[in-house]
Amino acid sequence: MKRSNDFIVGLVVLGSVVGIVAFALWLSQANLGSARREVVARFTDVGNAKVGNSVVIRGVESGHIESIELESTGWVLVRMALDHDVKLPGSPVVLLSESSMFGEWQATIMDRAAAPDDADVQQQLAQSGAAGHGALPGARLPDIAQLTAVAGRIAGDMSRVADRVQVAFDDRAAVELRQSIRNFADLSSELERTVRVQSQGLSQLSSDVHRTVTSVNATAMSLERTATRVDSSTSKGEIAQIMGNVNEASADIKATSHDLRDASHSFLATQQQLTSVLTHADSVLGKIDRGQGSLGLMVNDPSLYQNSDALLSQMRELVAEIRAHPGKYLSVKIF
Amino acid sequence: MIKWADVYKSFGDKKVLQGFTLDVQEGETVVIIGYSGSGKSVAIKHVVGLLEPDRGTVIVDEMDVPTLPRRELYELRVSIGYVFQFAALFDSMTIGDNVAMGLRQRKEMSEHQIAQRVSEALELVDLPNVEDQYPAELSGGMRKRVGIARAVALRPKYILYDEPTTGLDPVTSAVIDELMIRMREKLGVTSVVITHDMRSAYRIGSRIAMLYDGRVRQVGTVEEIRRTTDPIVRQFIEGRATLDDQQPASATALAGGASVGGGRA
Amino acid sequence: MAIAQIRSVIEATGRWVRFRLEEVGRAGRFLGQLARALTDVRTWGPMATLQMRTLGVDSLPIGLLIAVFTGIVLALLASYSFTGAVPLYFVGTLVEKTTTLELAPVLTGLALAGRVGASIAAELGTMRVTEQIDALETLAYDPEAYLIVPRVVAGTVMFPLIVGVAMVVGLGAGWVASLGLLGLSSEEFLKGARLFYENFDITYGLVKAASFGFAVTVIGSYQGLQAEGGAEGVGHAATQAVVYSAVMILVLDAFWAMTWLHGRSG
Ligand SMILES: Nc1ncnc2c1ncn2[C@@H]1O[C@H](COP(=O)(O)OP(=O)(O)O)[C@@H](O)[C@H]1O
Ligand SMILES: [Mg+2]
Repeated sequence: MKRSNDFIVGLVVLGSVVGIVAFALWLSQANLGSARREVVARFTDVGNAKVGNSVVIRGVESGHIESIELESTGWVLVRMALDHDVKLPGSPVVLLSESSMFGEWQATIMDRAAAPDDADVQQQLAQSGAAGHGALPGARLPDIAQLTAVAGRIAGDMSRVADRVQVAFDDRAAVELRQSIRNFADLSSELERTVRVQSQGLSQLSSDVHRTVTSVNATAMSLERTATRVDSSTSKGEIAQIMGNVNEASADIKATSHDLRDASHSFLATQQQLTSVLTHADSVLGKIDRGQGSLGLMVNDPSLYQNSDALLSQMRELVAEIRAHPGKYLSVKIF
Repeated sequence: MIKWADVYKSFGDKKVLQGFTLDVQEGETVVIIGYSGSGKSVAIKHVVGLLEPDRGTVIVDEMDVPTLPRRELYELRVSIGYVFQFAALFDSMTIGDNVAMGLRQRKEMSEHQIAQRVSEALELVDLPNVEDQYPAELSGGMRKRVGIARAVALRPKYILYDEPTTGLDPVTSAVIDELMIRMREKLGVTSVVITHDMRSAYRIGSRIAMLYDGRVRQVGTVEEIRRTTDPIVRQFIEGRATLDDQQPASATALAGGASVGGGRA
Repeated sequence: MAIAQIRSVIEATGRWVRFRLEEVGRAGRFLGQLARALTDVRTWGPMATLQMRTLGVDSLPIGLLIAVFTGIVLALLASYSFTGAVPLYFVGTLVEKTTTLELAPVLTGLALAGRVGASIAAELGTMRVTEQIDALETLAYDPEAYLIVPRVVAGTVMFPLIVGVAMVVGLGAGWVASLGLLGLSSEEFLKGARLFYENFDITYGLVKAASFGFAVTVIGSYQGLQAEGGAEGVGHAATQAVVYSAVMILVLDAFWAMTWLHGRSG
């Protein structure tokens, strides 16, 4: 009886130890047998990247981050273990970026040439590459949190302009409007850049977002031209000349506000609505730009002030909403 | 030699031993008698260190049991056989394993020798061929005898018997008495026997001690005890419900009733 | 009169404190004796297998039964909570995390506190009140080394194994439930399970289980040895063992979460 107890206990102990270890290996997807190769990259900043995050090559998960060490020279060294049969691109660089809305990060290894054509990213890569051998150049992409921060700043600027316009449209208001439109233009292109860089580095960002941001960018450019126009017209006292076609512009702004109201009530089709809002804004501003706009009316017609103010506050709400629930707007593809 | 020196022992508020003093010489069999609950079992548990005295001490072979270091206490226990009042057999083990337990712990004998010693010991208590049974399959009396066999099998220098014959039939009791006598005469074992059976006490005892009120009321040879004048000892050994010179109230009433009845007749 | 009453209340309080302190002292001495007895490998070694069999192997079925149902319920619970907002493959994540970190160790631990704790307390309690433990001592056996250590060792070793197997089975049951009842694909479930998996999850669960095994067997043994006064005393010891073991498991669970889990999350 003692002998049979030993046997059964031994059997159960061995069986469960083997089972549990196999379970752990299987869950962690450890590759037994095939040796892993190690790649090190150098960064100025690793954002939220952590040990264990995936390493992706051409969209395929090929390993994970093994360690992150702070070097005495001020660089951060990231050590990655890759599956042994993975082939690196000709001149590899490593980009760190978000891979999901939950703050998970990933490292992407790509060819230098395929890296986003963005001044900041390129500068990071150049500096890291110049810092010495033995480590791949690395750069960290701006994260989605920055994108929403930019949108927030735009909203703030717009509201300031709106306040100004409602009180009185004088020379000072014109100067501020010009300034704000400039800021809006700058911020829009910053927003656009962030999204472009993100979507080049990753495949996860939805193309809808990209399209939307392109539209923001177009608006920004249009605003830029308008600003120039406003600038010259106020200085020469030619506001009257850029007025005209008042009713049309007014109707456009009304339609835009309507769209926006819909947008803030139902967020299901927000993507398209956001696009249409921006298109409308674009067309209104385009008209102003072409000299058919309603800037004059802004001076004379209080209802138009209200309309434009409504447009701006709706937009502010929308941006606030985007900031609060980025997941809804940046689409489920991010998962 | 076993020696209790002025032992005091209480459980909570209950005082059990209060200055218990007694010695047992080599080769002698001392019988302890006394009322149930008077502390006889408590007294002999001190000898193997199962209980520690509150005051006083117990000395076995010049060793002071309560202060003995662990290892030496275990060595001492090897030389003392203990027969428990209710046998205290290990009920998860066969009778054979029960009797062999102490022998195995000594690690001096082969399994074969142990098996032989076990069946010898069981034979001594008149229980041949029960090795493979479990305690639950035996009667109370049989279990008690296995308990004796377990102590005897060790061939210890001392054996402490706690009511070895209580509850046994007269014939088996006689067999056990014989066994105890033989242990002393043939093997020179020194024994302490707790019993209520005065016949057996007179037969096996070199001396008899009565425990009363937490101390030894009287100790003496069988003859001395038989002829004692101490009323409490007399009452106990004669098994009467009252002390010598008194009549219980009910008995007086009965006697009176009888005499009245007799007067009429 | 009033002074006498106050006096008796104060005395009662003092007595209560003294009893509690004595209890702590006894428990401490018990643990000390246990540590000493642990060095007596020759005595407890041969007894450990039997205990591993009765406390461990024979407890597997109940552990697995619990794991199967836990896995299924977790999968359904997760899919219910995730409606719409979170992708369904997170069912795998939830089942993996909760089974390994919490439910396999704690639910199995509680079930075994009943099964193992009560049986140890009852067995040792019976041996205590029928003087079998005294008998062992007179035969020069050390009851700590001969009776307690094998049980404690068996509990500490076997609990993690049972819990480990329960983790495997629980995740498996959650998987099967996700396939059968939620219409999730194997790939999705596994993706979710692996998404945030770390070896720490299993290590943490197993270490916790070992501490539960130790606590349950030590408490069961202690209560058993303290038993007095016949069948009622044995019953009381068994009940106390189960109650204290269950409470201790929850306390230890919180302890590990606060010291180790919390320490990791920063
Ligand atoms: N371990 C113990 N705890 C508390 N009381 C005990 C213990 N052992 C014995 N007693 C008490 O001591 C008294 C003497 O018991 P015992 O020695 O067994 O009597 P006996 O003379 O019949 O053998 C009894 O009243 C019993 O209740
Ligand atoms: Mg007794």
